[in-house]
Amino acid sequence: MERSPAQAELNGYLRAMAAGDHGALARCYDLMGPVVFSLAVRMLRDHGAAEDVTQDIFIQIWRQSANFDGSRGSPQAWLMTIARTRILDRLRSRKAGVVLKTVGEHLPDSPDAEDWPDDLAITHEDAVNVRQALAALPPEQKQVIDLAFFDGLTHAQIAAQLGSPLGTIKTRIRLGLIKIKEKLQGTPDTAPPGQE
Amino acid sequence: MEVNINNNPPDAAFLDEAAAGALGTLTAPEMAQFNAMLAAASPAARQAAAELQETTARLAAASPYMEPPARLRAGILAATAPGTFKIKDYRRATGERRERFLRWGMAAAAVCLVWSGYDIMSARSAGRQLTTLVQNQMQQIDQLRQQLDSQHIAISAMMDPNVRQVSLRNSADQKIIGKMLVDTRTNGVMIVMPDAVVPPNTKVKLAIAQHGQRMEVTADAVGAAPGAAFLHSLLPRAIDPSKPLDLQLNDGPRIAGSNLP
Repeated sequence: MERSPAQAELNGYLRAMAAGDHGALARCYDLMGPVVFSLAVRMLRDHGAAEDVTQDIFIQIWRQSANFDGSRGSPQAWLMTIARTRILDRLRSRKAGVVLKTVGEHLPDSPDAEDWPDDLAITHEDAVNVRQALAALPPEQKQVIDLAFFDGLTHAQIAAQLGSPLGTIKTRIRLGLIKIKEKLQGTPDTAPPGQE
Repeated sequence: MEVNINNNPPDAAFLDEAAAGALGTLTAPEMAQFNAMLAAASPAARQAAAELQETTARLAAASPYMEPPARLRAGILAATAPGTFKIKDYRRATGERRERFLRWGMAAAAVCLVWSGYDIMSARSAGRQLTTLVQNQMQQIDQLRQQLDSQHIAISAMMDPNVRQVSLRNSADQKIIGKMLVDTRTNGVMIVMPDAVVPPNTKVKLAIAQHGQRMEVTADAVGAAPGAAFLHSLLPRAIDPSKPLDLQLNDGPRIAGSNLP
């Protein structure tokens, strides 16, 4: 997968943080903080909770920066995995009775992405590409990826909500994610077996 | 979760689990099972799983952009600051006999207080009042510890070569009312005002203006010696400690800052 120039920068920051360079955390935050915060707001629909969890995430990144292994993936993927795990934990630990807004609300379908500035790890161009890739999915695949990624539902919850068999949900997620990957790569991947 | 992990390229069942793992839709036991499967998978399968993870990481770009508040950055840096004022180094360098004596003394006092509190409580039915007494005394001990900490933070900051000092004067009568210590690496500032009292753990609005630019942050009262205030904050951008600046606390009177001779 093509890497943005920010990946090398992030990689350097994580190494510096592992060596105790506190300034590197500030620079890492400048590059990734708004990305993490935007995702947290989108998933939690609560600015206060998003602030709390973003702080937790960067504290964890600071403490665990030495665990990052560049041979196993990009720094952005490592960081976003920590971020999503934390946000999902927060989302799933909410007490029953908290009513979230309608699923899919605020999720932009238009690929203009004018809102993203260009000085972050995710650039304006990245945002356009990702939104275009999502918008190009068949509706049933986009729906399950929205529910899984942005609403934090498990396979079983999505299956129950949509009244579809678990296997169908898994297949739709897999196919949707692979299509996004191919679209972002710009080259078609090896066609996996068992396509719908 | 029955999948064939020996196929190359990975089969659909493996990719189902990899996609679910990347999106975080697996339950904890399912995730543990998938991780075990991944560890035994072929390099091509592991590569496919890693690519799905990378793809998922990029999906955050589909969120509407939200500008985080400036206090979030400052809060993160404050919470992780490993040695803005190098108090540990200072303690190590000085041997800190008095501090150690006081710390052990306070610990011993705390043990005695708790012990005596426990003893009396078990002897009398009016234990609740005594518990309150013990708690109050423990609070006082904690306040004493905070005072010592804040004093040592200030002292150690003065010894740090990266920390510059700025004298603070009342703009009205030019009387010196305190000092500001500026850590030029982290933009951390510590304001020490001997004749002011700000209760520990309270927040103070701090405005700093220099070169025609003004910034407002929240400063934390990190402890207080009798009749003195210690305020700490991280500034969103650097200030030049060698140049004049203006300060305001809680929209109070203007304070002039200048390089300490």
